[in-house]
Amino acid sequence: MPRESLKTLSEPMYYVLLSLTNERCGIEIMDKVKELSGGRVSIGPGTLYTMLSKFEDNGIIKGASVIPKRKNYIITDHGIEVLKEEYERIARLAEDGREIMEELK
Amino acid sequence: MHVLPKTDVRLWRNLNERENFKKLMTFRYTDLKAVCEYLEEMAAKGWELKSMRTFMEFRKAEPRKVRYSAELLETASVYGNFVSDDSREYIDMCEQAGWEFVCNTGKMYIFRMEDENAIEIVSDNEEKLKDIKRGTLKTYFLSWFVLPVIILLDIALNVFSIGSPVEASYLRIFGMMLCLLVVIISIIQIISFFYGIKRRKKQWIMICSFHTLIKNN
Repeated sequence: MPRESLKTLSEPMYYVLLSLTNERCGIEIMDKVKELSGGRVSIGPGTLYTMLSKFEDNGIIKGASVIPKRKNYIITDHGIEVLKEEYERIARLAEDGREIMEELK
Repeated sequence: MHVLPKTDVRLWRNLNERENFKKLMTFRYTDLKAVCEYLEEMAAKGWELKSMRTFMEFRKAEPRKVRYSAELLETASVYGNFVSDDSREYIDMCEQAGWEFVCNTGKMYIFRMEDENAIEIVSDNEEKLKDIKRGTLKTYFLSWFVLPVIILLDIALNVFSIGSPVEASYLRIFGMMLCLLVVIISIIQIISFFYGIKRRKKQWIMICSFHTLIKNN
């Protein structure tokens, strides 16, 4: 698979990384993403598989342990950095819009 | 009601006495949605998919409403039906989410599920389109791009080597025409593929296949 750099994370990617701050396997990630987003974002197993292997190639997450038929993943230090950067970016976006949004109210 | 192609109708008459049913696999990688629709109809009529290679094999079962999903796996090989470790991981993940793996042919993997509200395997349409594009181009790269170039080179060589009228036999010219036909067919296929991709990008129509054409007319 060619290496693709991840500059900004998509919405599902962000939630997946958030859920991987604890060790989780595929189905647990799907459930956690749903829970975190209040049922707004859900992610299919195929999409998740592609995303996880992309993350793994980029060193953002790593495989933690393999129980037969399910592989657990956990975020790496590099991944935490990426996640923090993304969090700050989103926070900045909201912050930048605040004044104007308050005027609109 | 699904209008069956003529060949199917003939088979249909004595299907009641049969336990198995075979149909030539005519779906291509671009027909992912059409495959699912066809399989869902078959399931509603009481035919459950068993395997899929050159033929699609069905086994008799209780008629039921079931969802099928066809996916192109990047980790799978175009040639052969061998399920690699990476593909096995993909299947495991789908099975955890409740999708039962049925069978595969090359890169195309078929899954089945009864729950109507469960999430699609690939929840992002854009991504599915990308899968189809990548899978198809990889599969047909040789016959669409390499073969025509070789044939054109061959024709060029032929044309330049025909020096005297004696060498230019009708057979040779006929052969060249035949080769040219192959090139033209590849070009038509390439154009229709990219045109299809472009159209689907605007509107999500996965179904541009022969099968749905029959059904809609």
